[in-house]
Amino acid sequence: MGKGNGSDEVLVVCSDRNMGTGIAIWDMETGDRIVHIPTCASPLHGLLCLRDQFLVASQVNKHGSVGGGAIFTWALNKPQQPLRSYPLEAIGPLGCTKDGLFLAGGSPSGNVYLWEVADGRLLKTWRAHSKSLKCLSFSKDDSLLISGSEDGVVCVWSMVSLLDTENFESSCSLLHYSSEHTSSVTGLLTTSGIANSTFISSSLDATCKAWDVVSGRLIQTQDYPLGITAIVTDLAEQLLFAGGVDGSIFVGVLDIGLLEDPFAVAGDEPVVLKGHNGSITALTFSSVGLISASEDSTVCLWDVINKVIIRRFSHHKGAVTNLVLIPRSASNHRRVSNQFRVSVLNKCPQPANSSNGILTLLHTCSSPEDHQAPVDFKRTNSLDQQIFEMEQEQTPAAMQMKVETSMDHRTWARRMTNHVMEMNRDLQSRLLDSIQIRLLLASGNDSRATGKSKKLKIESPPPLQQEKSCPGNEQAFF
Amino acid sequence: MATSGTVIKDMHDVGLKPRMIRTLLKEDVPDDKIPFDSPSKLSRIISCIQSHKLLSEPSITDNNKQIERWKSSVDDWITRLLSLVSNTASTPDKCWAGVCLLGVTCQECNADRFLRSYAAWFDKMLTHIQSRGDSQFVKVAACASISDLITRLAGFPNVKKEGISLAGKVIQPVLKLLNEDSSEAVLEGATHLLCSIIASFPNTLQRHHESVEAAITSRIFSGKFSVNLMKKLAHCLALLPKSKGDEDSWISAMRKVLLLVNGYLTEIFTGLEEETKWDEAVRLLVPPGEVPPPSLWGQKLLEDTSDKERKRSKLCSISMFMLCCCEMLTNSYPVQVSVPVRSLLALIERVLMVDGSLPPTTSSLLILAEQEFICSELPVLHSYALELLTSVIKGIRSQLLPHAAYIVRLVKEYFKRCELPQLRIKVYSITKLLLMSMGIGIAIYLAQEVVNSSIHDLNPILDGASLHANAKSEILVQPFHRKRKHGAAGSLEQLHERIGLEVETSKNCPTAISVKIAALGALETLLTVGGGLRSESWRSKADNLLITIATESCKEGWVSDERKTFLPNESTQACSDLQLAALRALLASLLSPSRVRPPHLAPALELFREGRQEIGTKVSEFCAYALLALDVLIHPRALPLADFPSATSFNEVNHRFPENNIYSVAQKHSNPFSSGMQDTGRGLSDSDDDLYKSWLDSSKETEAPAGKNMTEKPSETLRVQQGENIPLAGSSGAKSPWRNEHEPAAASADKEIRSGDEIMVDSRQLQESMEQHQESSKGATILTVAGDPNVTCVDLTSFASKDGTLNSRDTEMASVQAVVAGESDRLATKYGNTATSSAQKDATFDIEDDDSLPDIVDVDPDSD
Repeated sequence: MGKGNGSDEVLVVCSDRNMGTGIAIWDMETGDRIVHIPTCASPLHGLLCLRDQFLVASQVNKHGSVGGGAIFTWALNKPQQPLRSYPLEAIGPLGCTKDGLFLAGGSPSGNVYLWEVADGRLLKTWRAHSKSLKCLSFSKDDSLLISGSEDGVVCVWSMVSLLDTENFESSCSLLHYSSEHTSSVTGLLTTSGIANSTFISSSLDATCKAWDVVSGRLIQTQDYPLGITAIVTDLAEQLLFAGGVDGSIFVGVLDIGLLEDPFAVAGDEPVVLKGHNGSITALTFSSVGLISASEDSTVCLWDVINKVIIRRFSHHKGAVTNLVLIPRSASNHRRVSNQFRVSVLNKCPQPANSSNGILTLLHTCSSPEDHQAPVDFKRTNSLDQQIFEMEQEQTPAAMQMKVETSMDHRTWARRMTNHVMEMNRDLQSRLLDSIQIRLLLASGNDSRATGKSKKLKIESPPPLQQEKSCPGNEQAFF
Repeated sequence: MATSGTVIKDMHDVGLKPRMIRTLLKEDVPDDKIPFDSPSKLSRIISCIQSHKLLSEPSITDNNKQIERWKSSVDDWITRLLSLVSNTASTPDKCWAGVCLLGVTCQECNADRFLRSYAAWFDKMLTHIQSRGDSQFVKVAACASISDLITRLAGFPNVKKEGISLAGKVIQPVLKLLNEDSSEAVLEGATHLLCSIIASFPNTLQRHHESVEAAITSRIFSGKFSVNLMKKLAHCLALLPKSKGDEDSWISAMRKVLLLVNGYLTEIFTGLEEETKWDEAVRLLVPPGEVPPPSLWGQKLLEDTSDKERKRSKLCSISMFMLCCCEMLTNSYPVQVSVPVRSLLALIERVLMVDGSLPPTTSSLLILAEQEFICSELPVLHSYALELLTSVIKGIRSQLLPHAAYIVRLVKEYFKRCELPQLRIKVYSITKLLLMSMGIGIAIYLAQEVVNSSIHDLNPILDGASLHANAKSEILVQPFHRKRKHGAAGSLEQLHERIGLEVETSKNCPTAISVKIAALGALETLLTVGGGLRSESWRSKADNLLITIATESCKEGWVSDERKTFLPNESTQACSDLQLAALRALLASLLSPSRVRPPHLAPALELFREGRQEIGTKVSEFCAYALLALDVLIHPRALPLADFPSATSFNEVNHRFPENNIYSVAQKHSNPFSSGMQDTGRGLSDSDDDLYKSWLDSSKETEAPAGKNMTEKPSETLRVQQGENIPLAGSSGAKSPWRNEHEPAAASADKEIRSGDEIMVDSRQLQESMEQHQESSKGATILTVAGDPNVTCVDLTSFASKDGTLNSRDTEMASVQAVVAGESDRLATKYGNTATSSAQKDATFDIEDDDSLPDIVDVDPDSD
């Protein structure tokens, strides 16, 4: 695998022609095909990447199952057969939350299915639209689901209320709907911003509309000369790119904040990127530039500033329907320590109260991180406390320590006293001895003898004092 | 010095380190001869070692004499310590000092040395844990030192096997310490050692899992230790599943804990809740077909005791096990696990819904006696239950979405009941967490509750009960008194009166302030996350409230040193925290998207500018940040994109400015200085002259380009600014009709007097409008009421005064009921509300500008 410096992303592309076409993963630097995953044909908006670890694709044809649809899930980090889920109906567009925990799929009949990815539970299915679903998108904080259908209706749903187990009428979960678009919705784009949540919808009726997510108010409408099939903003959300049915891409400045102004197109002439022969099917923005896919079986990487194509990829095998950017590292086969779990998506919802409500928790921190983290030694804390205790002498442990220490001191002192007393006794006896000797020797010279004895008596204390003054030397005496 | 005759260069000299070690050894570190007279000496030694990195000599020695000397002195150091630790003749305090210093050495010494000798050190310290006769202090120190050693060892991946075998040796002695009748300090040390073994070498504990679990739980059950130790034990219990590291052990531990807590609660809550709770808990926890174990860890799940002490210890165990749940939820775990969310939530609800009141069905005297006991213990239980809820939200994050509605209902319900400040703070923080984790989707449901509660909690400031009453707050009090005289009977006013009294009695109590801080925090989060709800009715109230509180809290001046001297530290801290919280919330209210330029921008800016001048405080830091953030709001930028040609001229100007002027000036400046420094030999006057001359030169040089710049730049910038201003002016012109509608409110908001009653009216109106909203599906008359606050205001007051004083209680009840009805109908009414409110909005929008028609058709609940 070539390691390009410029981009750390690779491009995932798939078509809807036939199952054999599969998914191709391209290196954006070199244009080489890195990986090919067979058997996949996804409709528009039917391919997405979960947590940079899995590719999920809804399948167009009824593969193998009777009348139902199919959703395949591939783990990116190991080459193996996909997880095949077969929902009740064919699933067209897919949408997932940013954390990859919930997956929404829309059917041609207008039903929306909502799964929990980790254990595959079908949390909810409800009739969202009367016509075929075209787009599904979650708001940036994952708390609202926006859906667009073939007849131009856009709906905003509250996830909290959708998933409320005690609320069975789905109608209450609908926050707003609008049939402002007169033709099929082709793209839904939520903009970031924690407080100011807006989304943009594009439609074949040649307009893009910006809406307020919460109030459902239409903020702006932008008219284009022809039907819009795909929209995307640049990473900083300054520019809006809208792909048209004839393959041209319109560039406009995105200015939702200014309520009065309609889309202010930079300059008088709208910037148009022309390079595709067929209708634009998907747009995405990478760190390198804009990437567009078209029905003419090509994918182009654009230099938006100079309006030129940097690189053109050719899919050969049919119209490209989906474009997804994934980090380069995800496409390598590597061990992920804390593998995010996916399960086969259930076909039918389980009764709300049957299980004991267990849900899978993802502990985000993995054990290696624990080891890497700077270790916090307890020593300083406990030591400071101990020192404090010692100084205060308030806790029993500190008292005990003191007592033990002083007991040790006392035993030492007793030992020393005994020792000194012994020496004293010894000295005394010697003294007596010597007095005796003197008395015997010089019985004639009395006065000198008494003087000597006095002197001796005076001399005896000093060694005693000396000993006491340096207790550490006691060993030397033994 | 005898070691070397060389001169020490500076404090970083390598030669200094061995000398310092030797001095320490000679003078401070005790040994047979040197007495250990004060424990504070130890901290001096340690700080000396740590700050000078005395023990971490570089391992590569290129025959450098100094390094060699350093090495040998460290050798001496270690020899001394080992003799201290192992010498049986040394007194316990010296032994303790030795163990402590050895622990420090484990942290500080270089890796080679550590790997060479950790085993020997370990054995020396282990003997102190094992031996019976040792002083407790020494045992604690040995536990701490060994845990440091093990923690350090875990950092070397290549000695994993040795580490595991080493840790395995400790477990038995530690278990013995845990099971023996050791003192609290020893237990704490042993628990800590266990925790660090689990953290470092979890596999070691695999075989001892059961015995460790039994030892810890028996300690928790005994319930006779300090809260601190109990928390440590709970923490250790929560870590224990990591030793096996598989999904099953986590789940089984969680299940056991939950069963136990539920079982104990069943006994404690007898008579205070429905009897079915235990069965429900079992149904959620035990797989169908199985029966719950009658006892866990030697404790019966269900038993009947009337012994108060036993109950108290049970309550303590419940708290600790809940804490253990919290830790299990928020700690990391190597694999994914299934969390019994429903059962956790059921437990939380179970605890929170018991408020000590007896259900109408039960009325026995025996229970009545116990009621008092339980009521006294309930706040602690509630607090832990809220803690558990916090951990559930933190641990499960967005996967909680399917249960979000349940939690919202729980929180709303509890918000109404909760009165104790500590618990209210917790509820506020839970609200914050919910808002942060689930965004606007949950803000839709929680906004009203947060606003109501925070208005309820924050209003007393307006009632003049602020800490430092002055002339201005006198004025504020006036209308309030007048109203009371007239016998106004609004329910909220009643509320205010009550709160006002409460605050007056607990004027200096910092808890009241802390609740306010929590309320401000919740409001701030709501404004941050739920700014998209710009059109909701609460917005203007919240904005008004926040500017009032910010001005009020800052009016008495910034918390300065002067006040710190005569106010107790804590309350000063609380005051400045309140200021900070108020300013933060104010900034959020200004930045949060709204339809008009924020009306309070000017006074807020004034506040921020004032606050910024309090250099060195958090408030000042925040104010600077706020001013930066507001800059974009005051002067909206329409910066050209880099890729359009207009941008180039901009760039040029920007580049030229620093290059030609500032940089060169800086160079010119630096030259004379450096020359002045070097030529110290020269006469003073000389260099002065030189300096002066070069200064003159540089100023000459700077002048010219600066002037050039002045003539050139303005035209550039002016053009840009004009360009910016045009759309702005246009927008304000276009908005003007709509502005006018709001202008009276905004204008009056600037007066000092209004705050007190207007907010009250506002909040009353809020209730009113809620009721109105419910009816609004029938008629469009409300539009006028909601549209013009002044009219409503008048209406309400007249209505209120007619009502008389006696009825006040009733009206309060009624309005509360209305609110309750609104809540209990929940989503249905809620949608009704949002639908109608946005209907109004669309209508007003219609009037404002004709070209934009209401676009999104709101849902009619009937027509779908």
